[in-house]
Amino acid sequence: MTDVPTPSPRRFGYVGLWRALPRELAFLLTVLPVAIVTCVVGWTGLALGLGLAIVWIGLPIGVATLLLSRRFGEFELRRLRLAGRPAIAAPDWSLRHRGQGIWRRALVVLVDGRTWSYWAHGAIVQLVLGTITWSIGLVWIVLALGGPTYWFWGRFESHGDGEIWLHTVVLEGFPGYTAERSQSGLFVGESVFFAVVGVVFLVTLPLVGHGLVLLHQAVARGMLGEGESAALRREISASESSRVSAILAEDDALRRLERDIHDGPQQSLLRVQYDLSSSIRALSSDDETLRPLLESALGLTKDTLHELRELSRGMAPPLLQDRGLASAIRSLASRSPVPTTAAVDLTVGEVDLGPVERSVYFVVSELLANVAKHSGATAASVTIRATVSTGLRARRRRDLVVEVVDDGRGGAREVSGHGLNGVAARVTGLRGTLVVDSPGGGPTRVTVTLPVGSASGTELAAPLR
Amino acid sequence: MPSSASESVPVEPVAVVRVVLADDSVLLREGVARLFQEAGYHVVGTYGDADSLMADLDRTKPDLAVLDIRMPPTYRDEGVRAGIAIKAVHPPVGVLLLSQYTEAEYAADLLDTGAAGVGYLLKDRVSSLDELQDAVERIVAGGTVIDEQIVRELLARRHDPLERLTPREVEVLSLMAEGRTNQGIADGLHLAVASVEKHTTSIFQKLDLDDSGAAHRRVLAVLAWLRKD
Repeated sequence: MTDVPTPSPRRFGYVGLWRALPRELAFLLTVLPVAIVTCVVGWTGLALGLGLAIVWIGLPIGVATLLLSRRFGEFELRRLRLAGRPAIAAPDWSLRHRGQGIWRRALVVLVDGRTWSYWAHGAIVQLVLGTITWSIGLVWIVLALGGPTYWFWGRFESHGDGEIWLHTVVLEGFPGYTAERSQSGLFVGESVFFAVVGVVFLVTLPLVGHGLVLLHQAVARGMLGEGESAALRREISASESSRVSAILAEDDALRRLERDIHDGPQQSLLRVQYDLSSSIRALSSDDETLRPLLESALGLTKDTLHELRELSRGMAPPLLQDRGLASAIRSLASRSPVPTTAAVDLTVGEVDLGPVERSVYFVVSELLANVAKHSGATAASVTIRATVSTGLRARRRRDLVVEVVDDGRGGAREVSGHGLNGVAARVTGLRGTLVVDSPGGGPTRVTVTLPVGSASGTELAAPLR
Repeated sequence: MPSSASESVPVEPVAVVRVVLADDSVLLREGVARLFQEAGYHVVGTYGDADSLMADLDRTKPDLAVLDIRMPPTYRDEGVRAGIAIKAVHPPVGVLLLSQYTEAEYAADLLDTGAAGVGYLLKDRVSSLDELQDAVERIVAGGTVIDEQIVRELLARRHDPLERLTPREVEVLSLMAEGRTNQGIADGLHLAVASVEKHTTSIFQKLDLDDSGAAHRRVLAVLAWLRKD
C-alpha cells in the first residue's frame, strides 16, 4: 500500500461504507428526536390554525406553521447532505411568491401543494418512518457493540440458577447439542454465542445504516425535492432563455454592423464621390479619354453607396436606432403604399424596450408589406400598446401588443414561405404569440403579443449594450 | 436634379456666403469643406460636433450652418436638434442638414419650427456643384430645400387624390415640394414660368390647398398635405 491519497473519494465498497458510517449513524440516531419536534409543531400549528380560523388569528398561524414546515424540510435536506447523500434541490419558493400584497402571498402559501408535502413529511411521514429506522438502527448498534463484548460486561451481571441462557434456547433444536451443566461453561457458551451474533450485526452494521439513510433519502426526494415538473419547467425556461438571447444577440450584432458600415465604407464612398466629381470638373473641356472613365467610376460609386444604404436599412433601420420605436413605426406607416395610420403608446413603466424594438419593427414592416402585397386594402392601421396582466401564480407580465388591421379582402393565413410565417417564427422565438383573424372578405386583423418583462422573461428587459 | 445647364460654370456670388460646418468624420468634413470652397463659398469654421459649432457662432457669424445628423455625443439626431436650436437663437442663419439617410420625420421636425431658410439633403447631392449652389442660394434667400427622395417617398403613398393630377402637374408638385420657386420649376422642366403658374394654380385647386404665394409657405402647405394621413 502506498500512501498516495486515493483520487476518487467515492465511497463504494465495504471499506467506504465503514468510513461513511459515523455520519450516517449520527443522522439515524437523531431522526426520532427531530421527527418528534416537527410532528408536534406541525400538528399543533395546524390544529391551532384550523381551530382559530374563525377568528382572523388562525390564518397567520396556519401560514406560519406551513412556512416553518418548509424550514423543517430544508433542515432535513441539510441533514441528509451532512450524512453524505447527494444534495436534493429544494423548490425555489421565491418563484411561488410572485404577487403583491401580504394577503395574496399568504394565500399562495396555503394553496401550494409542495408546501403541504413538506408539512406532511414533517408531521406524519418522518415520525412513522423515523420510529422504524431509529429502532432498527439502535438495535443494530447495541447488538454490534454489545455482542462481541459480552464476555466482559456479562460477568458483572448476576447469573442465578434459574436463568435462561439465550444460546441454550436457540441451540436446543439442533441434534447432538447438550447444554453445559456448569455455570461457567454456560457463561462461556453464552459469550461465544453473543460474540458470533454480535459479529454478524457488526459486519452488517454499515450496510443497514446505509440502507436506512437511503430510505430517508428516497422519501425526502419524493416529498421535499422540487419535483420533476419543476425541474422540467426550469430546463424549458433555460432553453427558451437561450433562444431569446440568441435573437437579441443577433439584433445587437446587426445594430453594430449598421453603425460600422455607416462610419466606415459609406463615408469613404461619399468622399470618393466628392473627389471624383471634383476631378471631373477639373478636367479640360476637350478631354475625351478620362471623362467617360471618371464618370462611369462616379456612377458606380453612387450605385454602390445606394445599395449599401439599402442593405444596412434592412439590417437596422437608422431611424429606429436614432429616434426609437415610435418614430420608426410612424416612418414605416408613412412609407407604406397603402395609406396607414400609426398609434404608438409605449408607456410600459420602467421596462427598457431596447432589445425587442428591432423585432417589433420588423414584425410591423413585414405585416405592412403583406398588406400592400396581398390584401388589396385601401387603408390600414398600426396600433402598438403596452399591457400589464396577471398570469399564472400571480406573476405579472408586461406585454407589447402590436395590431395591424386592414380593410382588404381577408383570407390571410400562416403559410410556409409567406411573410406571416417569418413573423410567426420571430414572435414565437421571443415567447410571443401571433393571432391572425382574417375572414374571407376582410377585414384582416393580425395581433402580435410580445412579452417585454415578466418573472421568467426578465432578461428581455436587460439592456444588451 | 440640376436646375439649369447654364449654371455649370461657378458664378461668383455677390456677397460671399459664410459657411460653418459640423461633421464628426474628418474625411467628410474636409471633403464637404472643399466642395463649398470650390463652389465659391467662404468656409469660416469646421467642427467635429454641433455644440462647438454653436458655441462659436457669435465669432464666426455665418450665413449658413451645414450639419451632419449623427454626431457626438450619442450619434443619433444631434444635427436635427442643433439645427432647430440654431434657428431659435439665430433665425437669420440658414441651416442645411446633410445626411446619409433621408427621413421624412427629420424634415418635418425642421419645417415644423416654421423657420425659413432650412434645407435637408442627402450627402450625395453636394457632389454636384449645381445642386450645391442651388440649395445654398435658396436657403440663404430664406427658402426651403427638401431632398427629392423624401418628396418621392411622400408622393408615392398618396396616390388617391394625386390621381386627379396630370403627370405634368405631379412633376411640378414634386419640384414644388423640394422647395423650388416657380422660376426654378420652369428651369427644371424646361417650361415657361407662365405655364408653371397655370399648373400650380390647378394643383392647388385640385388638392384644396390655399396658395399663399410665398415659396416657403407654399412648400409647407404641400408637405403638410403630403404627410397627413
